[in-house]
Amino acid sequence: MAIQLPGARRSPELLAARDRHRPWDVVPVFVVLLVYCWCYTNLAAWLGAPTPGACVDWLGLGLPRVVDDDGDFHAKLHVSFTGLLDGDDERLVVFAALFGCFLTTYFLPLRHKAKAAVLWFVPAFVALYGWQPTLQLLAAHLAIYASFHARALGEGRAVRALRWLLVQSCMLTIAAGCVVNGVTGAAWKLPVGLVFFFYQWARLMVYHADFRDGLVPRDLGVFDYLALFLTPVTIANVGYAPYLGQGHVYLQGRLLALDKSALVRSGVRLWLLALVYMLFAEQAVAWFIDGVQRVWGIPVYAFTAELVREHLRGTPLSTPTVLLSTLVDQARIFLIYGGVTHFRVGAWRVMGYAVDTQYDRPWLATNLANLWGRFAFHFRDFLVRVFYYPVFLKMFRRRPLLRIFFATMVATVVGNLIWGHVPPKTITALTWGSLTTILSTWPYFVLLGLGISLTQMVLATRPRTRRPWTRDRWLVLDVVCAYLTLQYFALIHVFIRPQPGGTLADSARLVLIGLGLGA
Amino acid sequence: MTDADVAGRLHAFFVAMYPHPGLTLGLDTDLLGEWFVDSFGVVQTVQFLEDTFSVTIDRVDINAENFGSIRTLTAFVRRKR
Repeated sequence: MAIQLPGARRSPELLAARDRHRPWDVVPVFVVLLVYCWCYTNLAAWLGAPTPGACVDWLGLGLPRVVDDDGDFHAKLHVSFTGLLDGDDERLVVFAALFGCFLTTYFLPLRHKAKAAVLWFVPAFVALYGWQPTLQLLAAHLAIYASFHARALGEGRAVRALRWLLVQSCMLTIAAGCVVNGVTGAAWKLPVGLVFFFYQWARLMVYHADFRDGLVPRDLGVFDYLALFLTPVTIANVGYAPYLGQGHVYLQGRLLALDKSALVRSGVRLWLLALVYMLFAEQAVAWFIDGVQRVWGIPVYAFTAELVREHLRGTPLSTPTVLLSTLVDQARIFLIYGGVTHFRVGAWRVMGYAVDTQYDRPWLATNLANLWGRFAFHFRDFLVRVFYYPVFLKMFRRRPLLRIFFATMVATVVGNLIWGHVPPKTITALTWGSLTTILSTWPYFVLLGLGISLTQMVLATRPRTRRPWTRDRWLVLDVVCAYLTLQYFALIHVFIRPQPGGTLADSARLVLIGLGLGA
Repeated sequence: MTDADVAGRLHAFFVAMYPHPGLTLGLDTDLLGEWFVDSFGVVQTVQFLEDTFSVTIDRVDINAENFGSIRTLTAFVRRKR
């Protein structure tokens, strides 16, 4: 796994050499997007071609969790907060915008690529959301751009405060909206353009960190700024890994970090892998649950939330049921989340950015610290950049273990809960209830933080004697560690799935059953 | 302490903390791409640099130019001391 740090420089000559066109690269992108259109839109029906459902029936496969009612496949890719178009048509717009964006960013000279990406985003967003949300979104980003890059504003304290207010406007609005709701009962409803803008809170924070570190040019062009946030890649599944793509430094460092054709090929490969994950996740989980029930007679629930509800109803649950249900839920999430994030990373890659995958075979993680990097690479990097380093580099310099522990806990508890999980749960539901519900899940964050920080403290004091998954006599230990890591991560998710009428004690009892310590 | 001493200490640290059987760690080996197992390696390196060479590291110092290889880290330590 390559580690990304800001500051890798490449000469203009090297970038130009990597920007060579090979017109045949268009073919695989077109074909794979056509397959996506066939799977997830009404294209087949419009063209009078066999639909996915008809093909599955003809093959006699019987995949009820794969095929939709209208003959295409169940889509994990979606466009949120709009109803102007039918879901299938929304996806068609996204795929068409991606293809157009690919063609222009591929063939235009380097200096025009950013403009091309933004210019494909705008009409696609207008088609999906209408003019008003598009103008709101553009206005919000132009305000950010002006506060960072308008020379007339200078560099005084007031401008720095304004930048902070704009970057943190998402969190400030959430706090104000939830408090107002708690006091008066009134619930604010944010305009859609602003909702979309707020979903980029984490990337704005990374941009701000880049800027403070002096890594963003003061004279950055407006299209170069907008292209970080407003490309067709950012439209689908805005709530999935909203930090994917990070800030200016990361994306600039990844632009043509490899030869353009190699990037296109790797993007297309990721799209194909994403398709497999998204198509078969639910069906694979259903087959697994049926198999376990049939062979061992162990009831398994597909969702941790369902398991928690059964526990609250008083249904007797065994340790294997709790362990397998929480694990199956994670497997399903991993596959769907992995599929969606691979799709988005694939789109960045065909546009010429060697963006790291958000998701890198989490089942190979042999400790919690490694799992987090494998499951949520960009989120982990956001937390490290914005929370971990500032704490680690300022506090307890003479006490290494305390330094690691404190920085990790700040990142994994405060950063993860408040800046990682509060916005997605509250941006569209600015109520006191939604805020307190998400805050009540704190045990999950504390247990995860403790797991990761203790892992790091052990790693800091004991030199590694071997690399994980080396084919030697310790390989079995890797398998055991990988299972324990995943199982711990899955089990503590009981705390993040609170159900109406349940208490913290109920969740704790369920976890104890999972550990074989309760009944 | 000479550059060779700094490089030697860094080499011993990386080999001890992140063993790679079959791979040789040279002055220009890409630490970020080939040697560290995960980003915690960067954190451990920061701690090691501060403890061993009595330098103070800031957030802007943590970048690919400084942490790219033993050679670049050695130059970074020289500038910081």
